Amino acid sequence: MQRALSVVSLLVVSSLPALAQVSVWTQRYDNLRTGANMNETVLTTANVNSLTFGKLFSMPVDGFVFAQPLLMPNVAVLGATKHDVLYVATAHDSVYGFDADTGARLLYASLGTFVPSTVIGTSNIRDAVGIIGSPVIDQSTNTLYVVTKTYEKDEQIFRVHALDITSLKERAYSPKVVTASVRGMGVENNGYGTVMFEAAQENQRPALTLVDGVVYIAFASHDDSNPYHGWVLAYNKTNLSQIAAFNDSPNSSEGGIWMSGQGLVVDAANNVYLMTGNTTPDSDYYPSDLGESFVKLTLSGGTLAAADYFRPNNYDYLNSIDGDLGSGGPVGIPGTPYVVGGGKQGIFYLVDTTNMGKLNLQADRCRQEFQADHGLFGSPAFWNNATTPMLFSWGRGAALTGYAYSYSRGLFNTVPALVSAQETLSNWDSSASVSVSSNGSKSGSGIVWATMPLGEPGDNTVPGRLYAFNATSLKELFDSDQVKSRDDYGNYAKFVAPVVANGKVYVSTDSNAVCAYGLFPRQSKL
Amino acid sequence: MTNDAYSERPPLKLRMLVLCVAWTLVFAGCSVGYQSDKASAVLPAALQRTPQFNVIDIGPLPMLADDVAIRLNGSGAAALWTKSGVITMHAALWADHRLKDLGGGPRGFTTSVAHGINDRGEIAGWVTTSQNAVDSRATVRAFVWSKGRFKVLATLGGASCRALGIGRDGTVVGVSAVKNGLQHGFTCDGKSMTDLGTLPSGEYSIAFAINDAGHVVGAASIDASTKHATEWTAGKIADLGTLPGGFNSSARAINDHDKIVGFSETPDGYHAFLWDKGKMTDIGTLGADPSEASGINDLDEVVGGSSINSTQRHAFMWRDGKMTDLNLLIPDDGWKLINAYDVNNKGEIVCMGRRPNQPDHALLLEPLQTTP
Repeated sequence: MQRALSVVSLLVVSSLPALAQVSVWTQRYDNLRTGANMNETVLTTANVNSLTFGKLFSMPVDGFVFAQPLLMPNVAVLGATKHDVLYVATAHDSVYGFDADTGARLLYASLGTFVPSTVIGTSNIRDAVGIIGSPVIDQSTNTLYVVTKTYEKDEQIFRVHALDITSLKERAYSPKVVTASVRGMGVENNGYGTVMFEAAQENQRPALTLVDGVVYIAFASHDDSNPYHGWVLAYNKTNLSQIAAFNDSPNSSEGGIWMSGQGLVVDAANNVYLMTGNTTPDSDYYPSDLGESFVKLTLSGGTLAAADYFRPNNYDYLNSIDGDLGSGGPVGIPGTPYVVGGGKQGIFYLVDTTNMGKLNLQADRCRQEFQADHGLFGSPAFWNNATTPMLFSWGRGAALTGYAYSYSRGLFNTVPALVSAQETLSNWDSSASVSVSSNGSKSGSGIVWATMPLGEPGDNTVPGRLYAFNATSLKELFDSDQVKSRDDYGNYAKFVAPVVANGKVYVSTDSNAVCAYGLFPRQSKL
Repeated sequence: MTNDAYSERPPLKLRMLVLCVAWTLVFAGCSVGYQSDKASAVLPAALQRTPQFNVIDIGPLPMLADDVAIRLNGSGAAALWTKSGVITMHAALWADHRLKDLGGGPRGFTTSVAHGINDRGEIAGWVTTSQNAVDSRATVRAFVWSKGRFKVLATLGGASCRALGIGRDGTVVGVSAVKNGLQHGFTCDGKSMTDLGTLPSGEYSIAFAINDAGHVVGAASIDASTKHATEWTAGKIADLGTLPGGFNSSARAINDHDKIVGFSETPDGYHAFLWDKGKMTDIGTLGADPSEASGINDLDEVVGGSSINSTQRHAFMWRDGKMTDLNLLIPDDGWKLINAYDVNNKGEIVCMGRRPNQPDHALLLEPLQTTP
């Protein structure tokens, strides 16, 4: 029996009564990583324009913001007044709580001393490496989980933290130092068949994923600097004890899991899905080694293991051009057993999670593949509106593009349904980061939001621009350069899409701030 | 790369001599070659530009996934692809300083992509029934474009077929599905398709290029997950193996001296290789893996692309044991050469490059005239 990817995680949003405040408890809004908030009742195609919409305030922080901000409504801050709180984690290992409506700082926690980027020798993440992966919030216990990387006596240490969202204080069982090992003879093995987790070599890049009482934490490398592995660690949310560890290259190396910061996708049976990066030669002879692949992981009896995978048959070519499949993350198609995703090559693969297709040199056995983009970093957004479900993608050197999905055929139309007039730059990783908001399928409510780098962000800090487009036409509604003196947000934060909730749009930056956009207060009549 | 049947040019030997002298001067004048070094994230400051090529802008090169390559013939004509409409690609011919859109193919097809050209100006590639050049559900057929007309080739009995190279006499090589759904390399002499078969232990093969002697190179599987570079001579397949420590390799081009280039795994990642007389040689990287070699001419000059760090790739030229960043050999007018696809016997190189924040362009590098 086919098991559809459910939108259970979306129920937090979609089951709320009208006008209830939306929570953003995980990266991309839900565990299918749709990137769509379909309960936005304030912002519409009619009122998002530079006359009525723009930057309202900035929330200063102490570092770059690679993690997507999260938002919880009605939080009793320090046990007192309730606020809608925006949680911001920085590469300086700080977590902030801001009033989401005013920008007032309510909460702050310093979780350690970050690792200077120069110590790691990374140019991909400039300045500091502290909190890079997006946190996740358990709404049932008001707990925010986050992973820090700290520098202590010349040692790099990862810790997983559980913070009370009302105070940002550590829970009693928090934090825990991240360690791990798996059986294998790959790099970093101890000579006795055990591969050790080496914190100095790893980068906690993907967003944390919470499902069924388990927090999943995934890792890749810094700048492909060997040796490293792709790791996924599973922690019990109630006590932060490690349940299981998975390594995607235990007998070889590499296979980084970075997905430009996206979290894992979760299906109705709590299997998790991810995409991996370049692999190494030794992996070819070990079925357990899964670089350049979509991977399905199942947690059972304290073991986290690959249950299935799909690897494009040109994976050797991808390896030869540093063509990471896993520069993007998968997106689950709600109500189907399919995930879609693509990487640096820009080909999107629609993969059936009930039979992913593995590797077949003759011809890929995925459900569908097509050129949908020109090198994707981050993930597309899926707008599951009643009229025309649409996948929005904005790769490098390309226009923002909408591909229609047919539920009856279970396929995408490979000819774009919508194309914007604006294009990204052609630089290596200059793809834009997109999200969608709408009020269900209500006409005039669908908006595609995007942050775009205005330079090559790979090794540089470059300015960014916020865009809003009508989701049914991709005609521009707004951009932050129209009234630049008012709306400019500073430097682009790599691969962090705008967060839309409750009439506001939050934009992460590499300018030590998160900026909030929204409708201007109405002018009172004289 | 194909041969040099260009009558108005000096004899090949003379041209080879001139180019040899030019390259000797290049390498004597500056130590521009550098080998794999993980720590090398930028070009060493000591490496100065010594322009050896003029850069000719062929035009925007629409980004296209899959194993695409711009190919060059002996007279400097290039086969590539151009955009038609929003996403549709058309095969294109660059010749006489003009880019010609060849159209989407014969009736029933909408997209065409070129992948090979010979000295007669005949172009090989594939056409599809989808407006999207990469569409797993479209019908794909190999084509030859000659004298202004597309000719669609048959298949080896399966549903799809792609031409990837074309020889001096018009023999086409590529990959086709066979009746049982497997993919095999093929040659086509214009009349019939010949199945090139596979290695004894494998079921898959693909042919990328053919030289004047009719020797074909490509790759073939040795098991369900591993491919090796291969050469077919007189219909017999030979496994070229891999670089030490590697399991996968692929051959992409062959010159008329039977020297073969491509890429192979190594313990450090994928490296470009040169295969000659039974030996596969690692020709290194521009500072970081991976690297791949895409073209070779009869002067044994090799071109390709290599990472220089974790986020940037540069085009390279390899000769006499040294790999050179081609960016050091062009004027500093803003172009950054990302990948070199092919080189002909005149020393012309076809590349993909871009200027900051600009779209990718196809570029032809013409050797600067040297004063006698």
